[in-house]
Amino acid sequence: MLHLKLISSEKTLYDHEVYEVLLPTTSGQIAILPGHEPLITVVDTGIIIVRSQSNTRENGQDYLATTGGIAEIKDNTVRILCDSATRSEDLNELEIKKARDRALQMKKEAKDDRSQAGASSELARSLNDLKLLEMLKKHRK
Amino acid sequence: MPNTQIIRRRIKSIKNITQITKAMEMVAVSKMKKAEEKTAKSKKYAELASEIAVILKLAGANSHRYVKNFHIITKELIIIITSNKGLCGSFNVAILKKIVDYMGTRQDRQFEIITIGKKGNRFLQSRGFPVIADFEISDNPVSGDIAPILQLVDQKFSASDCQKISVAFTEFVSTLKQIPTISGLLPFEKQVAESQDIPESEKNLEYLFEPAKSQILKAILPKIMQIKLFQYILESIASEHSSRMMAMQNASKSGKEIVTKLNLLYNSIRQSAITQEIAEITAGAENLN
Repeated sequence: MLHLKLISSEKTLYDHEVYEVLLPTTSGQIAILPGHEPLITVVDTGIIIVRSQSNTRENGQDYLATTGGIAEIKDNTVRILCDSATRSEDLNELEIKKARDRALQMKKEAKDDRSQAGASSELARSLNDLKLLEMLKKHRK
Repeated sequence: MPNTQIIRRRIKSIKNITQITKAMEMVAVSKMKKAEEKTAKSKKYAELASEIAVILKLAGANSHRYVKNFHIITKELIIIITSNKGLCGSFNVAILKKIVDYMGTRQDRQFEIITIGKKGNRFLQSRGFPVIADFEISDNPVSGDIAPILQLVDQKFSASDCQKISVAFTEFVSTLKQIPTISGLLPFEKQVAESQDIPESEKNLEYLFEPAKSQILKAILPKIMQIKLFQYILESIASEHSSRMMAMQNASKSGKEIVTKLNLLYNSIRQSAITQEIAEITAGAENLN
């Protein structure tokens, strides 16, 4: 088993044993199983999938939308430091769509680089959250 | 002996002050709780971040401008975090004293100062310290608020204008204990070497890096710096509120004590006045007989 420690700037999301972690990295998605080599990698904006048991079906998996961070793997311990990470069940489609529209609006009105960058990251985050929800919807059909 | 009217007035005004200090205490308590919660939450995050920084250092990562080490420091930039408002006990005094001592014992280098918080800015500027910038951070900051500070720091450090960047903040240990601290922010080398000792087994661990080490550093180091600075600010805010809470608690307490003393004085004056009057009346009555 792997010990997964996933901390976002808001809270600790995981601190227990899991079977497998799928990470979106800047060089593609990677799967981490017990016995993985020591590795340090940059987590990209995307979806983290956590499987708690080897034989769990789709509904036994956790999906998290993240905006990126750092991951460190050694001795069957996975430590992930995320700027933000949200479990799929905590995502609210209406709220996210609102956030996306707000971000689009902000981007349009942004005058300097800083607010432009802020709006872009906000937009990327909401689009990523939506992507996760879409993906889950398809799976359930 | 002062007359009763003056004492009555004094009792009243002290009672009013006590009421205000009590209200301020309540406000500080609720603000402190919020700030404390926020600090505790992001502390874990900051701890993990600095652990990863240590690992990177051990893995021989030195291909980033933040990791370079200077042998001679001719100029140091200090970011000083103080409060915007007063009435918080020795909070600002303690950190400013620490800073003045720090600079006094390091005559070999020049200093530049960035202030966060009006109190520190006013103090340092009135004494002619080289304050190059002042930033205002609200009581409830988000991590984006410090972006302009980081930008300035990055600019100063990258141009080798300053060889060391430090932060002076008040570490929040508990409600009763806050420690003024000066901690290094850049370069990373220094700071990592100063941090906790690592078991021998960890030192020999070979890590795989994906993507290349230099790219990882580029992505991670600015982030770690941001997390650290933000954490320092949060700690300072929590410290400010708890030291204000303590100050107000003490003020309320001594207010009450003064009122009790004045009440005793008031009563004794009143009583002696009455006694005197009765004595006068009885004396007068006796004279009539």
